[in-house]
Amino acid sequence: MMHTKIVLNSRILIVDDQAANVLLLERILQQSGYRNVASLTDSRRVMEEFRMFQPDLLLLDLMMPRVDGYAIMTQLREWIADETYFPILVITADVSSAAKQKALSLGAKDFLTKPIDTTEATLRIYNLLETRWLYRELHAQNQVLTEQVRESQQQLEALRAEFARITQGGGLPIR
Amino acid sequence: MDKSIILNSRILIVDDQTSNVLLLERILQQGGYRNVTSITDSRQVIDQFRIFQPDLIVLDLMMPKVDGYAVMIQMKGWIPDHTYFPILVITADVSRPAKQKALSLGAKDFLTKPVDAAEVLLRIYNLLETRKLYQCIQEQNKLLVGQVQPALQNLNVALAETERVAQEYNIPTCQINRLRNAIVEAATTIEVLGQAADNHSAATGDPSDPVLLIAESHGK
Repeated sequence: MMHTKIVLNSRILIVDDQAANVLLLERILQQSGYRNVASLTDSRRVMEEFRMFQPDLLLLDLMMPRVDGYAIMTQLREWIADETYFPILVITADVSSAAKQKALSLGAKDFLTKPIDTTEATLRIYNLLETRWLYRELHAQNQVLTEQVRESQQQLEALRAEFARITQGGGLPIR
Repeated sequence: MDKSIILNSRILIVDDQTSNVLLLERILQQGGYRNVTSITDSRQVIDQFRIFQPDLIVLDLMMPKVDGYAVMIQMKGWIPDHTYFPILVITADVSRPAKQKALSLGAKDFLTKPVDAAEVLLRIYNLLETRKLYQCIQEQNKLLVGQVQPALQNLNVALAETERVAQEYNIPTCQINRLRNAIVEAATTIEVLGQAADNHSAATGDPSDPVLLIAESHGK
């Protein structure tokens, strides 16, 4: 199974306008063993923070003044498209089906309902990060192996050519 | 979203309340799932697990006779090692110890009653996606390991044959050296490929085939 250590090294960005929520989430993450956590209470700074921090997961509050969670997901669309799998975990007190569908269509991968439950928060964050790292692993291995298969095929071509040279050039008689 | 996950996954629902089962079945059907089986008598869960071979179990925690915890304990013996088998627990009981207990017994996530259709589909899809990723990595790994051994064997045969023929026809060493080096180089690449496979891998190509051709043509 996926190594816990890899998951715990993930970079997590929290975006929530309420400082109390941010503190709670930070404490939950710290207790779970995550060490790379950054937080924002002013959602207008999210793009800037994204570029600097390059998170592996976004914990996003939906209801925020000025720039809300939906607007952030819309802003992040290009960023998400470039990634194989970028998890956004949406925190919401609004449990209407329409709100959920809208968040999903904008790229949310799962939900956490307020008030936040420690166990569920830990679990959901872990599950989404596990999926991200599995995609990464598959992708990385594919690249390495594609390169190696190409190299191996080149060598085999050389082998064939060399073999043909010896057998046809009269060096080795074909029995 | 990967449609094949929805179309091909087998889901087993275990809940003693028929109305819950019907609701979950309807949600899954609307979500596009086609292979869904349900049981209301949790004593049948192992039988169903063996017959139906589900990819995921949706499990109610509070059931008479055999409850969700007991089901998970029974299941432990039936889930093969190194397999990611998701159990999604449905519960009205949201106490922390109850959740921790379920997690320690193998639950991967929770659904709180009354269930929300969007969350049911979301959580089931997420867990199935993770299962598929693990399967992908493991299967391609197996495939590759299966190719590495025969390829190395063929190269060794080719090498031995080269040496034998060279000796038999008294061919100077310098004339077969390039061939010998080429074979050793190819073998090294294939070995590296095998090592990469051991560290979880996905494979493309079939390195054994060209080698096989050379060994065979040499033997003729």
